[in-house]
Amino acid sequence: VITTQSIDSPYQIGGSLPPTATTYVARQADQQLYQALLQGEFCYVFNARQMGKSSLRVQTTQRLRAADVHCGAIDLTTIGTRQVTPEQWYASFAGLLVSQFQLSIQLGQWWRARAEQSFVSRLSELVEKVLLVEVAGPIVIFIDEVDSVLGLAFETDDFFAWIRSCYNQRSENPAYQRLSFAMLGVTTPSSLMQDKTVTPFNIGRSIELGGFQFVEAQPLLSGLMAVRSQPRDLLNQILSWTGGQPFLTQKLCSLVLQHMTTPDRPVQNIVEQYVIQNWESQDEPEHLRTIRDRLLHRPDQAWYLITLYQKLLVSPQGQLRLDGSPAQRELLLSGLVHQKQDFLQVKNPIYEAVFNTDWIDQQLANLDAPPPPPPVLVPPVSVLPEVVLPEKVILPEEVIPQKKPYLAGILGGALLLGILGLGIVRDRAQSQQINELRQAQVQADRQAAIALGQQEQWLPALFHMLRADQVAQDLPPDQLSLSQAVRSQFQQFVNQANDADPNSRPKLRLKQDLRPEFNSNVQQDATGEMRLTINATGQVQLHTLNQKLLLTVQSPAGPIEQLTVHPRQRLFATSSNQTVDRWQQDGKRLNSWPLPSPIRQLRFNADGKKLFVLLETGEVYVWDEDRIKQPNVPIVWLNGPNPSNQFAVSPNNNELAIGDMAGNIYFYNLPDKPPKKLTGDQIPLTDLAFNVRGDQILSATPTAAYAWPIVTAHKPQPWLSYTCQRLRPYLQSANPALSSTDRQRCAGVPDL
Amino acid sequence: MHQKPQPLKRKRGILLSNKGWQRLQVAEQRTLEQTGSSNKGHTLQELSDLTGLSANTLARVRGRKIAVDQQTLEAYFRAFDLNLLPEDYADSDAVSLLGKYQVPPSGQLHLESRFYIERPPVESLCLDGISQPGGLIRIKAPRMSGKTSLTARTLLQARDRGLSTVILSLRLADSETFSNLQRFLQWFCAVISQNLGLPNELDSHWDSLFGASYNCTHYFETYLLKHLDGPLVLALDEVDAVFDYPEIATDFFGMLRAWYEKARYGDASSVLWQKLRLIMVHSTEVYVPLNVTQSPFNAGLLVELPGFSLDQVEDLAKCYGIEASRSAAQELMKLVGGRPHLVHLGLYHMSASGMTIEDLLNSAMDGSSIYSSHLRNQLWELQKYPELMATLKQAVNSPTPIDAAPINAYKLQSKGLVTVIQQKIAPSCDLYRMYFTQTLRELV
Repeated sequence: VITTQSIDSPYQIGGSLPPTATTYVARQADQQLYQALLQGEFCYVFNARQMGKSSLRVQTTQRLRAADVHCGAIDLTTIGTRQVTPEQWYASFAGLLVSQFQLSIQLGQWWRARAEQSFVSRLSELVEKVLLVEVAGPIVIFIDEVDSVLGLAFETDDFFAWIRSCYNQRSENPAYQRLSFAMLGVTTPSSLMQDKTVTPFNIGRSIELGGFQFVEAQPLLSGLMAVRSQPRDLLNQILSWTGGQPFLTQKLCSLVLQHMTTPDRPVQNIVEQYVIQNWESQDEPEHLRTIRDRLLHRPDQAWYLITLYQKLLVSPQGQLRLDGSPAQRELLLSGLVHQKQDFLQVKNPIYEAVFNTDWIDQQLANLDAPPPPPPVLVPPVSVLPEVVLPEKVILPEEVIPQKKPYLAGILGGALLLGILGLGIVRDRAQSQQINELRQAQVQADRQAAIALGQQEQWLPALFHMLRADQVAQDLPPDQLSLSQAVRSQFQQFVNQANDADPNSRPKLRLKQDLRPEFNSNVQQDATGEMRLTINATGQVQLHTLNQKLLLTVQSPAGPIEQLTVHPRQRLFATSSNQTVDRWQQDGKRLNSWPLPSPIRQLRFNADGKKLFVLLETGEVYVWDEDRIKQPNVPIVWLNGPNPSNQFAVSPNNNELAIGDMAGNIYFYNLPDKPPKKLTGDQIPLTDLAFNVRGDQILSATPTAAYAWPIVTAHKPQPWLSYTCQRLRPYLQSANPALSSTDRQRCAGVPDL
Repeated sequence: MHQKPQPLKRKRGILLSNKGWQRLQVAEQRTLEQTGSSNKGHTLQELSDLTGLSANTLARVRGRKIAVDQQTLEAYFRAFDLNLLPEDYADSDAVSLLGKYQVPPSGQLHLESRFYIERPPVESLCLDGISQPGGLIRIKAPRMSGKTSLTARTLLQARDRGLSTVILSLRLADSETFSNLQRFLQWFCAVISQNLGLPNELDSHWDSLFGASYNCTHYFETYLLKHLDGPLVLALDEVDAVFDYPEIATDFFGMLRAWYEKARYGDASSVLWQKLRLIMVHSTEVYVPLNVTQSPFNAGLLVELPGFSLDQVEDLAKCYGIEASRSAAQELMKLVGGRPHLVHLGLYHMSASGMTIEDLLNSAMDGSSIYSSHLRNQLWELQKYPELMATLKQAVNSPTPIDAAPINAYKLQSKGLVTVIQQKIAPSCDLYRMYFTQTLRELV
């Protein structure tokens, strides 16, 4: 019989402590949350599981009630996530409000009588006209398990925007000054809502929830007196094992009561026998397994999280510098690590003993054949250059007799996507550390690589990827010319490939083919001899390829935000403060026109005769060189629910694609309206383009790249599958040049 | 799994088992739905018309206190298109004086059965657990280990203390019921109402304006729990059935966990929710990834039901009137471990047909042995899962415990075929090792 929890024990393991619990440990957060809510602040407590959030809510509710604050607690899990429609969800939320605050209305009737209003506006009316009218005095609405909204099939931005609006309305309607919210969950503000302008989290107060400190943990002492008359030292030992983690601390106190068979049995002994040994079967109620599952549950993240954790564990101080990257945030939410000053550390010695290096090795071994997604599964970058060494891409004749460069191209493509994924992840992680020019350089190279990849010019694409990677890897700016070395290595390879098989000579003239035509903040001009960048103060700078500054251009309209270079002439265009300027490369401003809203992107079409401008509102304006006339009507206007952030113009100019923050793409065949919608992955696009033939739309997100056939608009497989499927025969061939790492390169990527 | 009941010459008294009672409830509910009168239960008169049994007899059957004869139950079941299965009823002890006329044990033992062997401290833990306001117990053990018997006894004790009880096996919901959450939760509410003898009030308490979890919670809060004077012990048997429906599992278990938390809010509705005591009975590890704080599987009290110890097997052998009970128990332990069902089966046959332990050991692998039907059933179940067969084959052929993918290990463990020792698995008894070494050699 396993029963870790004895009925008689004063300690409670798992689940929130009832308000009467004698072993509740009040922390600094208790005081902070209570005071903040008492003063009408909006608060949120976002932390790992089993850190005592719900217990904190129960206790705070009690205290607030004693201070005549009306409290209502809404646990979003009681509404459900899987099979609930938006209306049911909002109505259920409203229903919980009605019952929590015992409002007088008959909700079903009330709700249906307002059928012409949106759900969120009904909720808003309920709060303003009913709750705030019927309940006098201060009100706090607690929303627990707020991360359960992430499981819903619809967006909840409106919901959070509504919460924000309750705050905004305080200045106009004083009644709202009585209302505040506290949200609790295992999440981060940015996962719940991305739009900074309407998020409630930047006006709310974040309450940090740490482990129990010794001085706070005094309520745990009296229970321990059953085994030791002076239990202070015992409690101290317990806390040093658990790091004050609430669940583990309650559990260890309880275990000590049960198993302190001799008065001097060391706590270590109990920890080892009842917590660490065979932890997977002793972990009841589940806690360690929760952490394990949280680390492993998403196959696309697992490898990355585990290696990040490994890095932390093997570092000399056992810590990692905090960089706020998504992976670090995810590691924090798992509960395994916590933040101490500017570093991440393992939370306590128990975790360290359970999730030790052996465990890591075991996991990494199991993750050897992981399911698809690219970014976290790509091989470590350090081994990549090895693969592109010329002799390694010479292929055995029997595999593919004629098309060597072609296959080399595929290999390049696989690498490209690999680095692409990794590069973006790393980009976020290191954006603070990479100075702006280099960051822009990385971005420009990556976009050039995508562009070239679209043209199936894998080798120059690979060149760009490698350079982007070199730059991203903390190399000082004066080594940027390293690209020259890579370039010559490539040229050498290309020559060899050409010599080996003169019939299928790759069309590779590095200088021209490397010209990126795609919008970014660092671009080469039409000749490929000049590099244009936007500096930190919003000026465009022209450098030669060996970094000599030739010219600085400043727009009278304001700091320059976007830049695009003419594909054929020495011209470029910029946007600043809702204005588009067109420039000659010597710094002379040719035209300038104002637009009605902020500008997201600028793009010249393939021959440079048209300049397209995407506004945040989804409107696209086009400036036509042949007609030298300022446009005043948008050619299309995407009125979607999400702000637009990317767009692309097809080579034949009659088609447009606009991408939004939810990763959806709207495809316009210009005379035809409305657009065709290609549904994305709920992740903002990072790039969007047409291929050269104009029969595919190419899109990239941080986790996947897609080529959408325009005719069918069916959602395609990510490129990695496509590439790996074609690469596999080569990787499985007997070629001795292939290292075992190479052979694993496509492991786990499913076929199309 | 169970053998066909042997023809019995005189079998005066049998009682509906919990399982039979539930099957009947579900069938009655279905009939009500078909006739479109789902908000009212059947009256005794209607039932009498349907079954051809007198209202008096029906009252006895449904009261489940006074024994009735088998024909009566069969008639009742037939009226609802059900066959009466051995697990649907339990003998009243009056008939099986010597155990000789008892049906081979399978499924739940009758509440008063003297063949129930206590396995302290699980019984008292369960009782303590349901005595806590808002208590939650999880009973976990492989199939046919006595979970349902333990649950039934716990419920009996709860009733003795004046608590209302409902036992509901989730295996009874058909796949159509599991097709969507609303359907499932309405079924859940309807069957529980019926079990409590309360009219079905879904019409007035369920508003499709709201989500299904919300409505279900509302139904308990404003109707069922409110209606009951004292606490309600709700035992959910075979909750594993829900694991196969992840779309439903997340929200259903999330809701149960939220109910558990509601008892701890310390607000007005908490007192109401403290009346609910939940028992969840399952045989598998919870391998559906559930959001942890939104799952009832990491709160409350876990009771893992162990196999029988040697002493317990010996006690049981004595109950069956077997002489030399100690040595018989030792031999039996070697063969079938402490697996309760197999122990019962062996002892029953030794008692009923004068088989000796030697006979039993010698014939265990024969096609006609007392275990053959059980073994064939296990094999048949296993054949649906080639990956489990492969894993089991490795395990039976290895002298030492082997590594296995956790999910396979869990599934084999839940079938009682293996024991998990430090993340490795080994066959749970010699009988399985012998049988599967032989059969899987030919099959895999």
